[in-house]
Amino acid sequence: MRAVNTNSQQGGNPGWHEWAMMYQLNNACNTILDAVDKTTFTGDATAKKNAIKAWAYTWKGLAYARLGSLYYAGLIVNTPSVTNNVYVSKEAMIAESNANFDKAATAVNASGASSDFSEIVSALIPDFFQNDKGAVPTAGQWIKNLNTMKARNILVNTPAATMTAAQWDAILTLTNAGVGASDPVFAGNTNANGDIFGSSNYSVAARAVGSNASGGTYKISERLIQDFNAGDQRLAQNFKVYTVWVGNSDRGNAFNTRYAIKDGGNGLAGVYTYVNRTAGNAEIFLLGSYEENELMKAEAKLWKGDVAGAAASINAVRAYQGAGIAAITSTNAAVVKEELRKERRVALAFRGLSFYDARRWGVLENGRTGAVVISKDGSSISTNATIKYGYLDYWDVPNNELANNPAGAGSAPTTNPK
Amino acid sequence: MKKLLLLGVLVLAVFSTSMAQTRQVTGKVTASEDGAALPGVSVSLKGSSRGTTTAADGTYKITVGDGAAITFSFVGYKPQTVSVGSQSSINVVLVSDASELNEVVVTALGLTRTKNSLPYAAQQVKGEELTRVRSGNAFSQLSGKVSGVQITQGNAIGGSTNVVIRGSKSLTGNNQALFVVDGVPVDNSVTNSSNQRTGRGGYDYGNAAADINPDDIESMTVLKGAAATALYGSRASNGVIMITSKKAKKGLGLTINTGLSVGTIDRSTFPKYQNQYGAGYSDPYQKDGFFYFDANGDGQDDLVVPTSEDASYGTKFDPSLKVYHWDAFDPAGPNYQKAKPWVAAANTPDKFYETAISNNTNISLDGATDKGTFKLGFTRNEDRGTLPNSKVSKNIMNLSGTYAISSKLTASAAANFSVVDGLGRYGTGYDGLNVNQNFRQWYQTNVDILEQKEAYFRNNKNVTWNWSDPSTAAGLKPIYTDNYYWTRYQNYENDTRTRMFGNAMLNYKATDYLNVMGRITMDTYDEFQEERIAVGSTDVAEYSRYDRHFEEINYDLITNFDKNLTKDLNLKALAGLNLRKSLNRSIYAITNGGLIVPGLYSIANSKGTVSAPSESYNPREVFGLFGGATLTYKDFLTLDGTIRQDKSSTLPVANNAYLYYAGSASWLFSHHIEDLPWLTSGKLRANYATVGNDAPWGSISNVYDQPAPFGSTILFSVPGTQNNPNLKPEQTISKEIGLEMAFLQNRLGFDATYYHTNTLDQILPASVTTSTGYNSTYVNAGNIENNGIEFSLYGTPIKTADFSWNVNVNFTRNRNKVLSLYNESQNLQLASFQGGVTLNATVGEPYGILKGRTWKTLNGEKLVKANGRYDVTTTTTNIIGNVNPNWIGGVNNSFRYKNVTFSFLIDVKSGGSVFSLDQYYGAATGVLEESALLNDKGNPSRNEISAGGGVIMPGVKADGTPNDIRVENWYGTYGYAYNPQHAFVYDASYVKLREANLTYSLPRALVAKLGGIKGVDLSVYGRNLWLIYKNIPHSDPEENLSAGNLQGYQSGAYPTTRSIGFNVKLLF
Repeated sequence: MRAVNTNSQQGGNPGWHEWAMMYQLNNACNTILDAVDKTTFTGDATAKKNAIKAWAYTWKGLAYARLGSLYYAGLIVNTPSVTNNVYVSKEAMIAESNANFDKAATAVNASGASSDFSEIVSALIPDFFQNDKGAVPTAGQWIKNLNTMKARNILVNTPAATMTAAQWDAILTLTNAGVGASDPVFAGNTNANGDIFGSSNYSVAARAVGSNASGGTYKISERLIQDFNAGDQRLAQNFKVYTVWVGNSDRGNAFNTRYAIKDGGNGLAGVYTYVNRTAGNAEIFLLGSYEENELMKAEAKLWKGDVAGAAASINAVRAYQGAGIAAITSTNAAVVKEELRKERRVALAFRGLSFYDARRWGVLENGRTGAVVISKDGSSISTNATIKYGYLDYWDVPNNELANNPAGAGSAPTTNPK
Repeated sequence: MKKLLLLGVLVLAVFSTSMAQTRQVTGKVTASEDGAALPGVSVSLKGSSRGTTTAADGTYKITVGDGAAITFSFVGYKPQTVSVGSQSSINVVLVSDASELNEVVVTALGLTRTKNSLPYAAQQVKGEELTRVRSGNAFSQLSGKVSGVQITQGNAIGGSTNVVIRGSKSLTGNNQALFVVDGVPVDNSVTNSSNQRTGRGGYDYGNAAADINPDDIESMTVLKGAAATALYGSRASNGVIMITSKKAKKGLGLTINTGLSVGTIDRSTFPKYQNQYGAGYSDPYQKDGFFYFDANGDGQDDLVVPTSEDASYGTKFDPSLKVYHWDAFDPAGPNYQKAKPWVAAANTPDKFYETAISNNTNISLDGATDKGTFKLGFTRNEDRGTLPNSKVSKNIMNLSGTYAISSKLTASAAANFSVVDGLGRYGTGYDGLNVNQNFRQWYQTNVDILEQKEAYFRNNKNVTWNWSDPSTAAGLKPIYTDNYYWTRYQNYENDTRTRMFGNAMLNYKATDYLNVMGRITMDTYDEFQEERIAVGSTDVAEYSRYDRHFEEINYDLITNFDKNLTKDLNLKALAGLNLRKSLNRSIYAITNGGLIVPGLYSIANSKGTVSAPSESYNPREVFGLFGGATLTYKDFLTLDGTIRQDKSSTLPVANNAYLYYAGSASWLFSHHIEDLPWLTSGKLRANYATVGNDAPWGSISNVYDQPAPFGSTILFSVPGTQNNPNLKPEQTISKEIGLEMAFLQNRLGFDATYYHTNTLDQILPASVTTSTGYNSTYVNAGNIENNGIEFSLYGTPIKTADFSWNVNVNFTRNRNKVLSLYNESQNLQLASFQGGVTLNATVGEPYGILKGRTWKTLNGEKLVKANGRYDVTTTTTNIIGNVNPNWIGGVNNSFRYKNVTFSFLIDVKSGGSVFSLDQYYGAATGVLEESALLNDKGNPSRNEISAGGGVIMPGVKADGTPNDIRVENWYGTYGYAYNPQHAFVYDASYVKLREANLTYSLPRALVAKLGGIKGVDLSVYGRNLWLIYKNIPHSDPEENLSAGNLQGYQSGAYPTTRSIGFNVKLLF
């Protein structure tokens, strides 16, 4: 990462993309916030303005959440088309994220009672998103989505081992007021035209579809498959096993696999599918989801000592996704904790959360054992490999930014000391 | 000599005393070198304004008084004055004036200056030199004929020509020369897409200046520096190519040219294939031999060629082995379900190329009377390319006339109308529509191209060698590659450009020294481009259309003053204004998701919902005020100054006016040197100039763009580039000194120039902090320096009545350096190409640096890793090439023996780098002959190491000892997989026999018998006859993607077309 964190690498610097995209999102929202009060509306102008502000603050909250959860430092920019050079710590970025989610909540509350609220929100959310889970939320449902995100901000930015009781309490409170099983979420979708998302390449999962184990651009990791419990219908629904595919030998063994993902599932009714490349049938979680909320709740319960409650939440998620496996009955906290780990991997796969989990569970630092790995020539499959990752937990601020906007006086460190 | 003069004075004195009477004198003017009649010679009475010109047969008639003297003058000949005396018939033989220095040169705004008073570099090329080798494009013919000008043209028919004078000056703006025809600026846009320019596919539609009729060019003057072009204002900061069209001559003249040429590809610029191994990949990528399944329905599994694999690292050919090839799965083919021997193809892809045929016919008619002149020309040029189903045709008509309304007022008008139609232009870059993507990169050496041809033409079906999976019916479709004939005959483009340019002018000669000219010039064209991909192709069927309209109108008012202030001092001055209005308007629409009805190419036939077309509308207005003065003292000292202010609509109101100026001086020092018989003339010149440039359209104020809607949600978004309301104009500062000398009565001469330019405050989109929400913002920044030497030499080593030999040499050496970019930025990426290579402007380096991975080295030797493969840097910012040539030059020799002339031009480019994506992939996939050579042990290198094969890569090991680690010669060994980008950067030097021409003019005596015909020239010519020297394998070093700033990259390069033609020229 650091070798290519130079300005001259431009798009070839992997650290650049999240940074640039999130600040573009932030700037678009700043532009909206700057314009909204200068604009004349018909009808209930206050409600309409607040609905638009709620929308902008929500996405600003996401932008700061993503930046603060990945980079060691960031910039707080709340004016359109300009920036500043005072870098703040990742903690301050998360605080700014929460502040924006709170502003969004205030705006939602100030607007939600008006019928003009849903008129505006229906126009803001693209029409082809507005089905199934992507339905237009009520004011109350919107607030629930914000709470789930605030819970995530706490959970993913603190190592599990050092979480305080107060943090677990906060997560429990937020997730109890978070997204429920029947609530709409901010979910994207595909359409035939490929507006926003192309129906065949809208996510990593969509690009791992294949009729053999070489899949598509992306490969299905053996380590993902091994986290499915025996008999989990989601495995049968979504994956097909083929003869071993071995990638370029110069790229190591990580990509070697027997699995490819199945587009639209293998026809098991009521079982969750990761990918559906038929236009209009994708489900792209832009903020949180019921499963994430419920599993965060499970984790908080577990750490608070409510092992049965934690198991119940995990069971609820499995039932929700049609896993078809027996409910967890164990009251052993360690067993439930392992089930929780596996369930987060399986239920939340391809939702951009696993890096956060690997970080807070210490996998980045300590590696893992008992991993399934296929050897270089494809002839042997080890089920007890040890993998050391050594990835940076938080990335340095991309040099593309620093080269053009060097840190000014009073800035927080922009490089992770690790 | 002195005695003669004395005699003349005496004769004059005698006649001046006699009585004045008027009478008529007649006669004929002929040329000394061949005795031919000279039409259009100015015949004037000395000391009076009366005069006439000779008719087409060289005859004249003039009324003279007693004691008169008649002066005969004509461009290119020494003027001659003859005292009439008592003669009533005076025949004159004019002697050609080889003195280049006395030549009249057309300079900016169409002003004429004698060359010996010109204080800046201007090089003239006669029209005949541009049409000696007939082609539809006059500019590609300039290559090697003018110093200071770099011409680059690819090998596709109708492709664009890159014309850069004195190096690239602008980082991201236009660096192309401005074209002006008789005062009309002619637009030279290249509309090729950014994908096309970066080698990602698309067509090269050529550039618009190709619409100028080569046969109507009297001469082309290249004004190279800012001092010469300052009067044209900002748009001429890259130099000007001024074209003077042919002028009508007295009487009626008719010229007909007609000819035909044929072309074939130069095999040295096309891959040489290995013929020992066939289809397949190898380790480490994916080792596969043959497919194995039941191919003929007998229940037994058979060996089948791995049709889906587009490489040739597969099984060794073995004629005794019977395998099922692609054609075994073509039910309409003769080999359906039949096995064939496993052998290399009899017909390699060079057989895909056909014989190019061009025909060119030109008719021009002109005439003049005392009152006016007219000229009418028509040219038709049709080029059928070397690729099947390709044709570019041009029809150009031009008409002009002048009329003397009174002795003081002259009106003139000219119009040029052209239609250029293209069909099946060559696909370019890394794209399936470019057949060379396969021929050079991804191919199976067992595929016989002529069998593919038969397979297509049998039913016009897409029968490919590249079946996706021949074991299933559903797999009988192309996986990557269509049948190439399908590509050419189904997935073709067509285009047309209809153009009109011309002017209307009134010239009022107020006094003999003051003249006012008002002129309106117009250049307008519409172009239409259609591209299609047929249903049944690998890619989704598609149809797109692009409609573009361009117009530019110039209003000029110019006052010219020309007077001898004293006996020794002449002042030429001018003042003028120019209003330029231009408009660029286009619309592009494309289908989405396929076509409903195959073969119906219309947007309405789109399978998916069509996005709104992308539209552009770019009006622009520039108002200029200018003035200039030239003071000449005694014909040897000239001082020249010009000043111009432009106001441009693309700049912020507060900064929109910009002033630039030029000052020049020349000194004909030979004037002071007498008694040096070998020195004919010598001139020193120097100048200093600044020239500005306005901003790209729409770079001042921020606007939202409107992307395609999300479903029914209408969007407006903030674009990625932030505009800047504080932009200033760009500025180029230019300095130049030159020396021109002629010796031995002009038998030998040279023109040497040194120039230095700095282009400052460049308007460019600089990358900025993305936390602003933008990727880049327009700024004024950067400084590029160019300095160089131009040298032209001419000589006539032999000159007798029957035989002469002329030599012209042009040499250009430009050194270019990026001095600074925006703020502390050290690099500006100009383009990112496929293959991991980028083109950059880097501080301290020339403009146009290639960057990518390189070898790690030890003591200058390439380092190999423990596995015997090269150790390659992880960084991609290493400098691996510089696209600028070290020097360029041309040598033209022409010989004349009686009625036969022979000439040939050698065109040279030394240095400059080119990255070849063709080698990057082609060397990896095993199609090329060098991938299957014998190794150091004399064994086939592709044998496994255990069987004596393998190769040792030249280099050193980590301990510094020579590499002795043998590696398998498998997929990628010589290509991209194991080698850095640096390995595929080649020296683009070349020496080419660019042109040769042999012309025979029928003897006058014979022509006279033909009746009505004044001259017949028969000529044979050739172009690109011999690529004498090059360093890039399998390719033409000159081949490029498109005209423009992105050079030094080849992908799917086209081979050179070597053409030979025949032309007949008839003069009536």
